[in-house]
Amino acid sequence: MAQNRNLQTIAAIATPAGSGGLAVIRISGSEAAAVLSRIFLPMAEKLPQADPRRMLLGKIIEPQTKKLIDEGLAVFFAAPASFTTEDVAELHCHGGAFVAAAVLKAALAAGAVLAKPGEFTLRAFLGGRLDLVQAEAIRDIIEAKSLQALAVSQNQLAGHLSEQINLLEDELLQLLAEIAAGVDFPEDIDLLSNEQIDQRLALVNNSINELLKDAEMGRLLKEGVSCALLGAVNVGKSSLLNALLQEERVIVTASPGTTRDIVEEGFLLSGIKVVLADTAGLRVAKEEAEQIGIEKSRKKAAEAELLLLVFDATRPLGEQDKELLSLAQGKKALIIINKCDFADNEELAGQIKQPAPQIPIMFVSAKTGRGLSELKAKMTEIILGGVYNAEPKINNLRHQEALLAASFYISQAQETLQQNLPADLAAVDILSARNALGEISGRTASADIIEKIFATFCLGK
Amino acid sequence: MSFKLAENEYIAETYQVIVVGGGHAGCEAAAAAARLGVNTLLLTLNPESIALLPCNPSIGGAAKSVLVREIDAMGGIMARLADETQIQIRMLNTGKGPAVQALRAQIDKPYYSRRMHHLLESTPNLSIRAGEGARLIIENNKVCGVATAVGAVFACDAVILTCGTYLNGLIHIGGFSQRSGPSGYPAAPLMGDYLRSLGLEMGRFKTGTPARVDKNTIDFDKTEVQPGSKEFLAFSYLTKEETFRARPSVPCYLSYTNEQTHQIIRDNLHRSPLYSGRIEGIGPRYCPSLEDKVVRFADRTAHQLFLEPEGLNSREIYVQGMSSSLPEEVQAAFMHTIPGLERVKIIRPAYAIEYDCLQPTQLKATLEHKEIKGFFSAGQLNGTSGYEEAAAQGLLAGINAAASLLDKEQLTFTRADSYIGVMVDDLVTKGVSEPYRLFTSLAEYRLLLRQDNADTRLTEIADSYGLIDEERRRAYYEKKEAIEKESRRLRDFRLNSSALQALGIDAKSGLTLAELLRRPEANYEQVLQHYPPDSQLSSQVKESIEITLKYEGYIQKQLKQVERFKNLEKKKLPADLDYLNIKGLSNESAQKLARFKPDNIGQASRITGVSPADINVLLIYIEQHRRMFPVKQGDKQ
Repeated sequence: MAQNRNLQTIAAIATPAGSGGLAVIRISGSEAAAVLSRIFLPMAEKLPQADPRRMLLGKIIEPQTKKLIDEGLAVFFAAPASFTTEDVAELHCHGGAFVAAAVLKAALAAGAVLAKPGEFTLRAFLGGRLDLVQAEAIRDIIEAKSLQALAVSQNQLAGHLSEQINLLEDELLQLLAEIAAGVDFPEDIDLLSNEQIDQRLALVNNSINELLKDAEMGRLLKEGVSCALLGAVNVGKSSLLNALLQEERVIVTASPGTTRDIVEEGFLLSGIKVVLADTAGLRVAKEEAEQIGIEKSRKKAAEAELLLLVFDATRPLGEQDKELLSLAQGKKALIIINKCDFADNEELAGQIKQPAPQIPIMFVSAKTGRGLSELKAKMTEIILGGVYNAEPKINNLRHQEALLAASFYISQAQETLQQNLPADLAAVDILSARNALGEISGRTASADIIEKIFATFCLGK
Repeated sequence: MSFKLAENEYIAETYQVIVVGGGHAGCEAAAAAARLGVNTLLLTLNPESIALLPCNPSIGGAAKSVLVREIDAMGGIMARLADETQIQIRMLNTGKGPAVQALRAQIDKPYYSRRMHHLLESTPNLSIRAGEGARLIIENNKVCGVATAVGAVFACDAVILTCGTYLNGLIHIGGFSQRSGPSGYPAAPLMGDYLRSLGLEMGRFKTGTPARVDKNTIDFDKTEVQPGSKEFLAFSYLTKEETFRARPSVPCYLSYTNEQTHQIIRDNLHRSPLYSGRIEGIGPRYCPSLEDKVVRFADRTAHQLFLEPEGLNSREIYVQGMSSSLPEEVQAAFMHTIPGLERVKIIRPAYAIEYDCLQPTQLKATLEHKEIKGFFSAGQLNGTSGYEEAAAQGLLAGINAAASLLDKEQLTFTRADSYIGVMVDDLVTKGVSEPYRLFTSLAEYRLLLRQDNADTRLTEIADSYGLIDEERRRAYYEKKEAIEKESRRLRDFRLNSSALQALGIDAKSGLTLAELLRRPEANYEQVLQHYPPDSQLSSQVKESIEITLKYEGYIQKQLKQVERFKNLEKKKLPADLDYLNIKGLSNESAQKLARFKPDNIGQASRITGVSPADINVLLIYIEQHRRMFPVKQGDKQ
């Protein structure tokens, strides 16, 4: 099957960069066994390729000089029972960038070529081991930013999304068939009424909308949420950041204007990665560098999905504070009155509330930790904004776009039906909706899909 | 002539194109080739059976009527002849959308046949000869002649086989069976055996036809009348209203089976050769025999049947919906249970017929055989059913056979330009597993493939091949100009607020007539009454304008879908692609692709058994290939 294919044997470090206890080097292709035998000397008599799927202890050596690189484990998977459906060898060596790189180098010297990003997954896809959704899920698992995001990708890998999409696609196909049957057999078949078709389309659209709600959640899980801490100088933004991160990350001093650059840190909030950007405090800048910092803060405010507007409970409302509220227009935002070490400053809250009555106000002390857990709960609520679903199925932008397109076409078809136009006209949009769904599962062949695969997996040249 | 003759064979005459078979495919093929100026012979078992309609006495219906219009748009015969010989015509599917309306005409069968014979006899460059085509003469994978059963050899450069259901024809009526062609004409066993001896992939199909009964023994009072249209309707773009008015309009009648009918069928099922297993051929699912209907739709208490005249001067009535292979005695018994048919006398019993056909995946989209140059086939031999399907293929094969001798480019169609394109693509890409009939549902882009615009789609192409005469050319360009002029007027004419008020329309002033027409509540006749154009518009022009303007939004959407479709058709697959060595293709797909050698990705995607996953693999493969070996400037793609 996989043999006789005119493809090179590829190798790459399969574990993430950086130091860890263990690193895995993966080799895939018809030459995998040969490469392995040149760089791995087993302790026992048996070679790993003679005993597939069993881990064997041995020495990893440099193929030309036979110099020892590391002691480690090797395992061999014979085609097609491997991830890529080709012969695959894995070498488990000690962690650390240096050792892993040396083992990879040895594999390359022994006849393998360096794998391109995503090439193992691509080979698995080409080997028929994965469908498109699954291949994308693998990429997402590698890039997953939280446990929940991982769960979404694992869900897709198991084929749950494809199954659900296929069901919707089948229903649309069934409708198309029934509409066409009425046309082809005008004397034998009772036509579906426009209302009947409309109702069935509505059901499909409901399911798509559920998936889309999921998609928003999935996107949040996968990509995280960007959050900007904004406020006048010295209101305690950096202390707040540290309190949220629960460890010191940025320098905090009493001299105003210390944080001139933007510091970004991430933390997990109910499984969602929140990227917090600590910005330079807003004030009239005394020097040019600081001015640049303040401009950056404004830009960051425009880009962030959630703004945390920080006020100082110990000071009256100043000009900068008022400007702050104007930045929050049309965005998700939270007002934080910091330095409420012992009591809430209701008076200040009242003053802030006047120009911005819709933004929730939280009383917090970064120093004592007072109000922090309430703040986190409120942030979660605002970020999720009604999209919360513990087990979303979709986290991929391509899928989301296809679902949006399908939903759009279905509403167009419904509009046609509701205007009492012939159902055959609605069929035009139903067909487009079906094709859009098919692009997710790969049941619609489309040159565009391949363009996207090439963009993602970085192939060719 | 350098080819070897068998014993008793002699060289009779020499032609450029020979058409074997005088049915609907053969007639259009012979006429098209002759029209293109090549010396053509039509070889037929019996010139009296030219353009026989051995089954239903009608032409048209859903999807098929568009095909008839397409034949007409390219200068074919069927549409004009149907208009001249029809005895009832009506429009089906009114109110179901502009793309699916369909004309159907009841035809005076003997008259149609006679008129076609006469028309072919008066066609220049065309000879007609009686004889059974027995074998082809093929040298170096190229056709160079046809030998008849009596030993006459006709030399030629191209041959079009259109043998219909005659090849090894075998009819069944209950326990009785007999080698025969349709309607009691003799079968043609030699050519069928010859094709098998070439090693071609053949199939065996079955079809059936209901009984013909005596008009004078039907009690029509117990049936429902189905009259034809009183309004002018015609298949051909050239048919004048006078022709329509000069034709009689004879009604059809509708009646129903009942429980008693079904009981008789159930009691005698074991006597049907279909159920006893004596018929091996595969029949069409969409055209079930009455016994099939009773078995498969057991919960239905009645099936409708139509009583259709076979001709103006004929006492024979065709009982549509009651095809059967049960014994004659049983046929008579169940007929007599039907209201109106209690005393009916059978003139010809229903029968089933088995016949040999070619698997059409062996053909190119030109209808020429992939391996044998100059060998074309068309019609039921290619696994289709229906007069219209046959005629359209015949026309295409006739054009291409002649074009190949005249050094003209071969003509092919796509799924986006015509129903002919849909049909041929289905045949050559998917092949047939039952007799193929064209359906509206097979056309993905049917909103573009309407019967009102077949000429817009095809007449200019036909003109470039020299297929159309001066009369049609003039009529076509006049219509085209009238449509453009009137469309311009409707798009430019703006209504002010008082005009809108007068019409009772709630819209901003400045609404154009075209925009008004797009509203669901508006109709073109009203617009014309209030704002008439300078000159009278023909009904064809009005129909085209109303549909294209009223459904413009939908047509645009469909055009976008066609764009996507073309993207895949544009991705060419090299003929020497080594499918067996492309990693990731399933074994089944790789083998099919290697055998089929599709021209492009789009066609590959329609091959049965090639999954979208395989198509993704192919797309990735050619994209990778393209990136690795970029086409240099000046190189031909």
